[in-house]
Amino acid sequence: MRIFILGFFLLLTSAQAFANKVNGRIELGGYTATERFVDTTGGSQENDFQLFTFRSFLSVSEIGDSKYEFNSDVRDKYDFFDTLNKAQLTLDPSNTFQVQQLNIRKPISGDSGMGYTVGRTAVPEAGGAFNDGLLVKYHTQSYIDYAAFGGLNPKIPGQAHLDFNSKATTYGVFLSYQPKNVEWNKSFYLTHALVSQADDGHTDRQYLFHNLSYQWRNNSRLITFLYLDFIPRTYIQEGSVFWQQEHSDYFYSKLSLLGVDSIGYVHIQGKLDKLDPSPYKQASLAFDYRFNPLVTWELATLYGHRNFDGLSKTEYALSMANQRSFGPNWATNFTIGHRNNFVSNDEFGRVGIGYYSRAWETFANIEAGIEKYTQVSTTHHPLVTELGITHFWSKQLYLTGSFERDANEEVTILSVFFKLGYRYGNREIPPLRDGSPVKGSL
Amino acid sequence: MKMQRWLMFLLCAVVVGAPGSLVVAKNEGVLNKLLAPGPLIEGHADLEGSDCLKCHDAGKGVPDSKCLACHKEIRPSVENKQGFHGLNSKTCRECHADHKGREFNTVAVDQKTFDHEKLTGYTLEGKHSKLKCEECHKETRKEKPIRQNEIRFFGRQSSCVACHRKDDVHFFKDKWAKKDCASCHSPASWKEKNHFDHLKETKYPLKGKHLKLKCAECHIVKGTKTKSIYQWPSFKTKECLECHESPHKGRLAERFQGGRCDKCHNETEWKLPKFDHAVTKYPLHGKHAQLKCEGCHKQDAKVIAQPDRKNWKWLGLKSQCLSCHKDYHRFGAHEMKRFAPLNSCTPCHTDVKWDDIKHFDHNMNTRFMVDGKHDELKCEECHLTKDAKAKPVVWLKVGNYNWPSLEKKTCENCHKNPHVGKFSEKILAKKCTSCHITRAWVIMKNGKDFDHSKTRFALTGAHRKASCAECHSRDKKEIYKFKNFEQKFCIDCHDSVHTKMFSAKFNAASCAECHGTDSFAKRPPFNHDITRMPLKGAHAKVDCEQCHTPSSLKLLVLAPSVNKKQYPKGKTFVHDKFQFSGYKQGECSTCHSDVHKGQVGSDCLKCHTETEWKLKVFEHDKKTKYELRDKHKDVSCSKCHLPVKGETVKEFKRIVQVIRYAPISSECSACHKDAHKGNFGPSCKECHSERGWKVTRDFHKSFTLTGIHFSLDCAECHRDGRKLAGLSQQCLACHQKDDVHYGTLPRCQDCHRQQFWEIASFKHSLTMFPLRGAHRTLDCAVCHAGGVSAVGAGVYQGLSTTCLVCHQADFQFGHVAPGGHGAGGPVCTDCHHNQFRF
Repeated sequence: MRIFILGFFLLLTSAQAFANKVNGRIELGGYTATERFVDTTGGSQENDFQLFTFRSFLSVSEIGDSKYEFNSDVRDKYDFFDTLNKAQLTLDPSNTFQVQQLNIRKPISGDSGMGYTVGRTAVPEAGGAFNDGLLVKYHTQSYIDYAAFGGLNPKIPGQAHLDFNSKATTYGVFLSYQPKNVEWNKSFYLTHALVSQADDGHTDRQYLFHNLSYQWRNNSRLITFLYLDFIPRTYIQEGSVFWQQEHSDYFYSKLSLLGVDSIGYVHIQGKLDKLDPSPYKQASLAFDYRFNPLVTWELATLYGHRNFDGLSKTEYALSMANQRSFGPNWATNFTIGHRNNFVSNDEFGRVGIGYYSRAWETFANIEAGIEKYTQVSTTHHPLVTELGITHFWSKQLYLTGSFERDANEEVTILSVFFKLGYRYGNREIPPLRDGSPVKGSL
Repeated sequence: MKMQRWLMFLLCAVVVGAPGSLVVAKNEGVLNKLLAPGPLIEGHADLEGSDCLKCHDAGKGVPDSKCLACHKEIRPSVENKQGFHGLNSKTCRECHADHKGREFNTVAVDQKTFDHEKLTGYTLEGKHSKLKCEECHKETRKEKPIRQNEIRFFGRQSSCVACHRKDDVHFFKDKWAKKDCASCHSPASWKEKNHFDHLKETKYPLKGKHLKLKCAECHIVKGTKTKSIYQWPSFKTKECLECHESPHKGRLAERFQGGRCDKCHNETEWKLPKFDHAVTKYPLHGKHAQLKCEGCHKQDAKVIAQPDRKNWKWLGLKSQCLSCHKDYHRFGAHEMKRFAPLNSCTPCHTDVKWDDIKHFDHNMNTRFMVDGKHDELKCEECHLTKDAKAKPVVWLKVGNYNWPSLEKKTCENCHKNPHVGKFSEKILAKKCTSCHITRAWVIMKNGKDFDHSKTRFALTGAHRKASCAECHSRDKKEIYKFKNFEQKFCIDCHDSVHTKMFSAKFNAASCAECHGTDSFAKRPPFNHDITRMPLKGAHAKVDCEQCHTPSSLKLLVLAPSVNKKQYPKGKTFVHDKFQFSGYKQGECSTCHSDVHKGQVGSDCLKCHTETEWKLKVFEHDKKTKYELRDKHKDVSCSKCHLPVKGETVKEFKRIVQVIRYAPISSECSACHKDAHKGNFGPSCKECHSERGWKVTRDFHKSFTLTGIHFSLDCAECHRDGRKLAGLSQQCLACHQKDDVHYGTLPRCQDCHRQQFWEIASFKHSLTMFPLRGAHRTLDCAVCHAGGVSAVGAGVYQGLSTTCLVCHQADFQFGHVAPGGHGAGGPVCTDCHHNQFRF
């Protein structure tokens, strides 16, 4: 399978020869971490992590007269340490190769018409759905998309990564509406989807997905998500409302409501296990005040409650972000707050400074806290120090890396990661960094 | 040998002992005679045979002191080193040898070779050098015992008096007596007195004839021959009169008396060939110089007959003219403040010619300036009383020189005012000179003469050329009063042709606001500022006619009244347009065509200026709602503001293309082509900025794209042109598909980074449950997503560290602990390793 995919990938890569637009990128990343514990467990005080990642994304468009489009997104993540195969209860070498996208797409040309996608593709209009199969979409002049999809389901609960699941199927329909040609600071997007997912002939999940994104002015918007599951039972698996309201040029508020429950089932060793409800509800409210377009203060509070153990979470935080602290390229931020994090009472503070230019991004963050665990009467003083640097040789090539040190009374963790990215093709490159503010508001 | 010694002793004893023997034998003249070398001279004869030691010192010869002990008259000369003996360094004996016999002349002098100057210190000069010795050394040796007829040289003094006392005619006293004759007289000639500087010695210089006088002529008292006089104690007061006798005897003025003869006379010539009258402080000029003395200095007839005028009387005359002349003007009767010298004749009259009164400057010396016609007048024509005027011959007797009212009524003192009753009181109050000049009565100050500017109406331009009568004569009547002062009197003479053309404001204004006095047609620069539209900039350069175009309105014109002949009634003229109906709509449109065709309103000055109609700088930011920033600032106007096809406007003589200015949308698409074909909405500014088309401005400002997001293609997020405006921090808006936590961890950024999504920055080991041993091999979902327990799926934070929370299934599947304990039994870690194996 992997050889086939790789061959297919190489074959289609040659499509660049007759395609008008190509956009691709390759990214190589590495991560290593060493954890040194105070106490010895199993004769060791250390834990090591090493990871190597690879990503290749390629999008070839305007192929032939019909303007076909080919998209591939393959990833590989190699863990130098074995991973438990829960199903087999064995330790397998952990090399996770996954295909996020591999499809050929016939885009819709003109103001209306039909398009389709064959292969593995994500269906964001239907929430977090993926489909190994066919997706057909019809677009009308009134900016409404009617679509249906069906095929194998590469993403099933309990499976951490996309995979080729020959027994899992999925299908669904969605209807979305997004008027275009509206003012730049306004938008409206609405989608509803009905999705059914089955595994080995058994319908595991059926849900209705809803997503609304409505912005009526620059900083006033409403975003809603809803997963209303019908199978295995009818409940709201996830529902959220995010409402940001701009009261003036300097002051606006953000209200977020979230209700989430566990997914209804899980496959364990080929057996479908239904999960008990584990709802969690969270509400947060934040007030942002801009002294000027570059300096923003935020006072935020959050409350969450879960039914599983009846614990709750509260958080109060005061933050500030200054996008031009010492000059046009410097940004600073800090946050202080108090948090009752279910099982601990935390005080925390974070200070960060960053330098952002066309060629360089550097940042340094220090986060310190006091975590008082109420059940075990233990207090931790975590201190996280992070230093990152990124260099853009061009819009095509960049290298980023970071060093992080985390420590508390039990453990000291040193971690380093890097990523080298290369971008190629002739598609439009977003003109980022060219004079844009280094950081946005909070 | 012994014999010889005895002989020598004897000889010495003789030599030495002999005198002693002789002294011892003082009275023994024989011995002295035997020892003396020879007889003494006659003068010393008495010493012979006496004690030798009177002259000799024993064994030491004859010292000078012993000579001088007897010849005491020589001692002062020697001691003072004066005279013959004083200057001679020899001893007495060297010249005056003795013991050579009675006849021996021990004082013999070789008169031929005697160097008088060297040996006596007295140089024989002049006549002295020619004298024989005996002419001075007249004393003889008569008192001497021998050669008594010979000259006795000794005793003669070198002073002149020593020889010439008998010649002293001066008989000086005091200091003069102490003076040597040589201080005045010369040895060359007694009469030569070159050495005497009379000025230096007496402070009285000898000049003129005094220089030729013999001393005695002054210094010998007249009537005597020897009585000299050298002191004149009263010389300071009597001066010349010390020697001379004044013949004038009080007939001179006091300042010429008292010996001050030098006022008139001098030492060169006593007689006065021509008397310089200036010494009297009254120099004679002109006619005075021609007069004989007696012309002024009246003398008695007897005196005049005398040829010698020293007997004339020169007293009594004063320098004032009136001493001789009569006061014809009788000025003395008036107190002349300004011209006080009128009491003297000379300020007016000269001594050259009495009638020629050049010295009198009537302008300077009186309050009344005489010029013009007055210059031609004789004095008496003004300065006569009426009666005197009838008899000009006697005018001199009754002159009138004082006019008390001269300050106010200058002319009226002589002239009669013909304007009484015609002029206003104000004008009448003025002096005649306000209008008239003295050059000619009829010549006024108007233009040429009359200073009309003193009136309210200054004459300028053509008015200057007009005769007075042209304005001041109406129907053969003189008129000097005009009423339209506010209109600057124009309409008093001229009729306005603009009555129907002008607004009330300008009809009420003076013609002079527009017209000048040079010519009605040639208007001076008009001060347009007084109108509603001050002319600025380019308007200031525009000819009047370009705005005030000739209208079709034809008016009957009443030309200036004085020129009616040139502008007969009934003649019509085309006149300029002066009132503009478009004023209320903006001045510009009155003259200018709206080349914008109403696009930008009617207020042209909002953009244009009168200085420059073409815009050099247009403040687009302030004057429009569209601020030009960055690259737009460099874009020429025509790039955006394009011509409107087929739209032209005639502006004066030009055809102007209409340019599109409004309405132009402020949207970018108004000028720019949308490369995105509308997919990203109409507002390009969402992503692009004016710094450059490819340069973003505020793009993605609320969501900083770093890490993996930086390298994404726009379409990867904005798929199918989807707008994601405002989603910003809501990761799930895009990453819903990637959420393996199914919404249970809503804040993705707490654990993930943009740079490295696939590896969470979350460090599980910092929690209360570090992942060690077998736990570190697990996926998150195994514990937190129901992977091992159906209970608590989706719980991440604060998940219990109790083993059974996850391992309940293990417990239930029959892994019964030894002892059969199940739930509620001992803690798992009592038997199982909590990390590495269960």
